[in-house]
Amino acid sequence: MSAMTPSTEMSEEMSEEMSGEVSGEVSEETPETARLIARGVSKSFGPIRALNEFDLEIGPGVTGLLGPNGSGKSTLLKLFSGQLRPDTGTVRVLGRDPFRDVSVFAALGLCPEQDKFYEELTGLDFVTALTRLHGYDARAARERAAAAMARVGMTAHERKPIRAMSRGMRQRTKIAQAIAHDPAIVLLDEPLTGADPVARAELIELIARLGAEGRCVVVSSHVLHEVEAMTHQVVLIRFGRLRAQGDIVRLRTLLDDRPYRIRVTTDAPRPLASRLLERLDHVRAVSVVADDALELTTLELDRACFDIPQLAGELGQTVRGFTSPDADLESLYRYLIEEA
Amino acid sequence: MTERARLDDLAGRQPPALPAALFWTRLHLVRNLRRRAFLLWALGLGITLVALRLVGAPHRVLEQLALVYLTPLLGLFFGSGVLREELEDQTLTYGFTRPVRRAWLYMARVLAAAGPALTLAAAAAAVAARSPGVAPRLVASALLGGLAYTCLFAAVGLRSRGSTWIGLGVFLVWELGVGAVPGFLGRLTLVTHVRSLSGLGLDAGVLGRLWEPVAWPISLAALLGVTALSLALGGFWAERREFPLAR
Repeated sequence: MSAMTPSTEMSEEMSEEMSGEVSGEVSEETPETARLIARGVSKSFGPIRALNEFDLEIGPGVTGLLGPNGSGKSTLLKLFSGQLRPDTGTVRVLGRDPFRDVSVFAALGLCPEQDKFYEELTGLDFVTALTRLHGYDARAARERAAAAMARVGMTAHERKPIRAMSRGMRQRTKIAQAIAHDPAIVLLDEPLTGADPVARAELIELIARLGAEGRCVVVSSHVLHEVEAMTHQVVLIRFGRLRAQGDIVRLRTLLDDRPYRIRVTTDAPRPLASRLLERLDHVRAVSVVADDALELTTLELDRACFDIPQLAGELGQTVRGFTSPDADLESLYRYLIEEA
Repeated sequence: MTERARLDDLAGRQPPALPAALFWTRLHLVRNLRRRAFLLWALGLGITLVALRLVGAPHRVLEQLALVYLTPLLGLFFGSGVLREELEDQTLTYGFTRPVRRAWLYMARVLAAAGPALTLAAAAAAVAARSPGVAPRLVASALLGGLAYTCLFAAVGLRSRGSTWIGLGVFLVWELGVGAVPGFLGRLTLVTHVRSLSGLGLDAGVLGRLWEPVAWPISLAALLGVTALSLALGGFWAERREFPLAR
């Protein structure tokens, strides 16, 4: 998958809050890869400021848009899809203002959050109708709609009235209408809501594939592990401000004042725990959490990965499991969004 | 061609607006004609007109009912909520994120909304006509009047959530009240032109005796002018307004 963002970065405010060492600014120059750009965007609804001086650039590939309810995710997607116009700042999609220049929608597909349709139509008719607004004649639109329905695994149900579809089928149909015209940019607002586990897995694969094809895919979701399955590129938003953007692992390493927890599974955890405390200066604490497992905290994940198996080997032990629950998206989210 | 140029070219592709708008009109016209509201209106109207004819109501009363009362009310009912319905059922996003200008999609939706209103207004005028010879004139007047009312109330509906109440006020105070005033003021109402085109005039009474029809080309121009102006204004507003969906 190609690089999805110009850089891994945390907002200035965030970096000050977290360590004071990490900084990153959106460059003034628009990179060739940027598909979606927001610069200094603020948007209020009455007294509520949904987005505040928001800067963001998103390039090709899948980007997860994360944040708690009311953080401004949907507002951002609505700005990028031309449903809203910013109070201040500029929003550009492929260099165009999506609110004023509807031609941008030739290259953009939107899967909205709401579970609403022209209920009496069949799924195929619904997708065909919307595809016709892209200038395709009846036959071409139908072929494209059928292909899109096939892509989301809905061929068997495409002639079912939407009102008779399950939530998961409706969700797939909604994604089909967003991709039927083969857009370069796909905005998906909570695309997995209501899908059963099998459908979720298939849709995650589909979304990842759309990104791998070079499209710019932005996925807003609350379900962190699903986002993690689609991409490692994330944008974290809180209170209408950009908290961080970039690769999950790199972002996590920027939080250098936050220790990693590591769980080590081994036959005799107690001697290993003592040795770890004795020999490794980067290990802050160790506790035996089970007969065959210990948990330690360290500030240096990379060194721990190297040192622990070596020490275990010196004791004649084998490390059977080595996991860091703090190196994933959930912990990143917890540090950057919830704890902040 | 660079990747950027290719994407710029792709994003700049806008399909011809008219075929897209005509397709959108047809899609929504069919949907509107299958809606329960239309079927209930048709049923109620049919029963009322048949009952009035059975009890021997004069044709003049029926004609007035069809053209002066029903036509504006149908325009109000079907026109005032053109985009509000799509906002409320949250389907507006689907159309408004396509490469077709919102003004065109708005006009398509207004014409689709006018379909049921005009069908009912024309049918009522045909049933109410005192003779087959008069029917075409009455039907044409109902169609032109119905279109003007639908477009006008649709434009009002874009500007105000209380468009139904505003429309009722316009109908009762302006159209029925001011429309009965002879002279220039009365000519500013749509109902005067519908009456003039249809040859109905104003019913008996002092005002009725003073009332004079407007020349048909002027009435025709007035109705078409209001239709065009309302569509243009509505399209203008649709282009510039945000349509945030309720969550």
